Amino acid sequence: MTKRAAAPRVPTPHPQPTTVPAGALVGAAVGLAAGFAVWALAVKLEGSPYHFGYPGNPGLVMDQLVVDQAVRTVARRWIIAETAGMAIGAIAGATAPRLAGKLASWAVAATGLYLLALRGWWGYAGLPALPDGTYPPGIVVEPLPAASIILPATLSLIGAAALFFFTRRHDRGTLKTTDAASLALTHLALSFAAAHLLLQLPLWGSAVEEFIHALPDFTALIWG
Amino acid sequence: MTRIAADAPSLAKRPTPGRTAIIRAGPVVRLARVLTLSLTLLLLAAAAIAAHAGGIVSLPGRLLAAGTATAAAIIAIETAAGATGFLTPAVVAGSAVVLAAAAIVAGGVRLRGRLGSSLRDDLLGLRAVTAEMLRPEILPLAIVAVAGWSWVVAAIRYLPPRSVDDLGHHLPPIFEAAVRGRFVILPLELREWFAYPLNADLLSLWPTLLRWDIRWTDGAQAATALLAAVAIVALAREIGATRRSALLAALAFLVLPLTLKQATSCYTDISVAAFYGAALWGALRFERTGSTAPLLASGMAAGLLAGTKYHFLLPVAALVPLIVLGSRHFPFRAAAWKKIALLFVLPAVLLSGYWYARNWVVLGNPFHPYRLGLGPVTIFPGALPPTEPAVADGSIAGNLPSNPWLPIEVSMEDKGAGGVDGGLGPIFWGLVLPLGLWQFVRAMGRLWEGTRLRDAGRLRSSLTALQFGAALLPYLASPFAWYDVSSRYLLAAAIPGAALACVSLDRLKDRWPGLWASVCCLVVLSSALSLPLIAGTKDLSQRKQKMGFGLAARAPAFSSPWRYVEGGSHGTGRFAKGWELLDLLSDPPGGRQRPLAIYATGQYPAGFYGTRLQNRIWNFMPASARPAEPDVYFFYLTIQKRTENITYYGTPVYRYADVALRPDLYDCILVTPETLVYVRREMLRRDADFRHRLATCYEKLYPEETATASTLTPIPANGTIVTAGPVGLGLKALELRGRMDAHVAMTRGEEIYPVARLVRPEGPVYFTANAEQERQPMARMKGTTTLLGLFELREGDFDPPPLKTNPRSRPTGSSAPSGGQAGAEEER
Repeated sequence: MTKRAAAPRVPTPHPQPTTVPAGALVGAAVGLAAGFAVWALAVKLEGSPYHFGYPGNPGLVMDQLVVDQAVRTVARRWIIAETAGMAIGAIAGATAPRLAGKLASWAVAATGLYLLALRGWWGYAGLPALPDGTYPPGIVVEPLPAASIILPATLSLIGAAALFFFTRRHDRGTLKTTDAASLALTHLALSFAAAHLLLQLPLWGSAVEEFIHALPDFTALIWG
Repeated sequence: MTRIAADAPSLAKRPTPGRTAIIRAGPVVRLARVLTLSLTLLLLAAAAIAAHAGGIVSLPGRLLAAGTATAAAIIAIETAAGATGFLTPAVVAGSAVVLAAAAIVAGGVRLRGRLGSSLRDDLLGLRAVTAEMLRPEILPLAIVAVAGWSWVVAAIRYLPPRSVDDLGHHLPPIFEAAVRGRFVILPLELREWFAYPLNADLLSLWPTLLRWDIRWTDGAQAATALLAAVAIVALAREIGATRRSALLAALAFLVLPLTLKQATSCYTDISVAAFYGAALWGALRFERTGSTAPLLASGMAAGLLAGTKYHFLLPVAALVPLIVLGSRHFPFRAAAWKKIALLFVLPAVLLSGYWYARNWVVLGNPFHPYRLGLGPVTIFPGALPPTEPAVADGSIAGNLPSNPWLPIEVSMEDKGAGGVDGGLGPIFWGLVLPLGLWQFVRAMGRLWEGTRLRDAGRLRSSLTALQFGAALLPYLASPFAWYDVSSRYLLAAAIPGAALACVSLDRLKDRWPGLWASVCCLVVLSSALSLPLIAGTKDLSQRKQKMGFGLAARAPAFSSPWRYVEGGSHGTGRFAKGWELLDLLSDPPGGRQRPLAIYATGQYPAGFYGTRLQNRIWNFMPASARPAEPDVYFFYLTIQKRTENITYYGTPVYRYADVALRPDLYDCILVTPETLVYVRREMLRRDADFRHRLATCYEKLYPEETATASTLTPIPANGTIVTAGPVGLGLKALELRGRMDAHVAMTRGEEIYPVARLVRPEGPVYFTANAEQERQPMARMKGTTTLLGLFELREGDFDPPPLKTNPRSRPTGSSAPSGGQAGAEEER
């Protein structure tokens, strides 16, 4: 247990002593966000459907097992990325509990990284590949545009920066182990939710065309 | 209680005008149609006064208790009337008025002049809620909710019921009960689920019966979705959450993909979630305060729940420890048990007992079609064959050890998203479920500690969190074969889960405001992004509910709502054209109603009743009450277009071949790729009114075809035109209007040659084809793009061409009838 030195300009968010478990938990929280970022940027979105549907054409029966397998693969990668991130972060936080105060601010700011889930908007919601790796006739799988990386990354960095400054201004609490635990647990839940969002966005996005198409009719119906 | 068995036609009885005409004419019904909403609001107001009188202090608690009592009153009235054979709009509306008046008088007497101050409290509470709506995280969510719910209300108002389970098994018992005035068990050969408890379905019966049409039938779950949202607020406030986070959770629930999709359907999962939330809140409130009004609300909600789905008896049973703990507030144990028996057990049994007793008496198993037993000991044998996957594969919980990836697949794929089956979204799967499970696990530890220390406070919080685990049981107990579509049963767990999440969110806000802001952002973002799902999705073409707002907006005066179903789930959209024709034939806009007795097939009987419940399904009517012969014969061949796939309701009375290959007895009036509609030829010949109605339908619904047919010159004076092509409807209109003496025999492509051979003795046989043939047409028609000809079949033409023949490679001079077997092959 050590006492932190006074910060030169900006008051430190957590001036109270920090325990090793608290440091480890805060580090784990940062690691979880970092693990998610790595996973989200690595998820294969082009040509990989993560939803099972029933195409209208009886000649093209979607293979549920293919979709299940794709989901298992990304889920396994999410587990690996998060476990690795959590372990590295926990070790870093435990070995340097003095940094826990700063890490806590970073951990809150890091939640902005979950906006990388918006990458799913560019995902593919069509039929899965056939066993030989090809796609049914008429389906063209195109590579993702650069915007699929640039836009979510920019948004997540903006979000992280905003949260960082917000936290430094508003957070003056003492970092107890229970607080650190709630921080880590919330990160885990947020990461899980963001992973779902990323995988479900391709399906939601596929409804946008229908939605926009129906909007004028809907308006006409409501207003007579 | 009657059960319909499949039996042959027996009585030579003419169809009576039917109940419909009598019911529609009554002044009470006209009044009830206007007052459907008012009657509901009257019951709600009466229940709210009763809740005030019962001493429920919190506004969400009062609203929840009042909503539950209203649902209970509606269901109790309908159950009593349906069981005794008095299920008429007059009886139901009259009973509701009497019940509401009694509650208002009793509540008013109990309040003794405090009614005004009580209402002022309500208004103050609503003003506080409105102020909270302006919070930065709640306002955007409220905007999303308003947008989504406008869509929902429009869909309910303009579109007919169109979801697969609605048409397959939720609505047929409801519609049949309405037209018969009593509950009946429809043929279980078609659906074992016809003998399910119907409590939540009876809420759909309320607008149907009072309005006597199916326009607002889908609205029941929209109302119970609001009740479920109130349950979240009440529960969250009960366990210490702030109003702000409770409102956020309630709004998030209202815009869950599953809530938005199901709110426009007659599924029952939202209603079940609302009932469960009310039962849990009441039990919890009773445990905390010993107040009897919440106990009564809990008993009613438990009864509604138990009378909706069998497996929700498990979470109802989990409420018992809370109720038992609440008994400590009473000085005498006997008095406590008496109150519990009177206010919890009795309402629960009264509101659910009928369905179990009926199934026990009629079918020998209160839990039909499921087996009830303890291990190898069977108490009630099930009706499902042991080879049925729902039985053979066991439960989801039983299969979890051998399928460790199942939870990940179910949650990450969110199976059913885009359809009414599922789509719980990232908020549920990522936040509510994991945090709820975490609370559940912690509660297990605290429960032990609380029991050891005899600490009621610890016990209470633990028992609350344990309810989340209990709410998961219905899903875990469901058959493994349906693990993907059953995920919607988890919606009930969203109620306690969301309330627990509110408490966590408040703690987070105090300690980590930045983190709290991130969680709120995720909730708002995922809610807004999932909104387009309500329009339908691109790839789930079989499950989606495509909202045909465009067709509804541009609907001509002569139209049926079935026209607005562009594509329903599981092929329900393919019925729409047949249902539209039958609906308009029997109830044309501005015309006189004429009920039809329909011999129906297929998996979705609900659509045959007509939008004003004017028609009767001949197969469902008891032999003593139905006409000797149906008026209409409807055959659905499924997407495979195979006659072997026709689903008959019970033992087939009229097989497809018996009707299709008897052109002397039956006339085909509509052919679509999957459906064929026939009428009795004798009826068509003698009934000028029916001919006029049918011709009017053709002219209004298919104007291009009637315009093409009207150019036919010269008009054949005798013989039969055999056709599988669309212009057949136009030619049929000519015949019906008496402008052509030749008979038009429509058929599907596969039967065109057999039918041609059968009508050959009646005179020359013609077929329609492109006019540019080697052979000279007997008559010509001018289509929109091509010139069509009427060709007479010669001696050698009555045999079908070889199947391998490709009509595209056939020389121009070929004279095969259009829509023939080869044509049908091409269509496939």
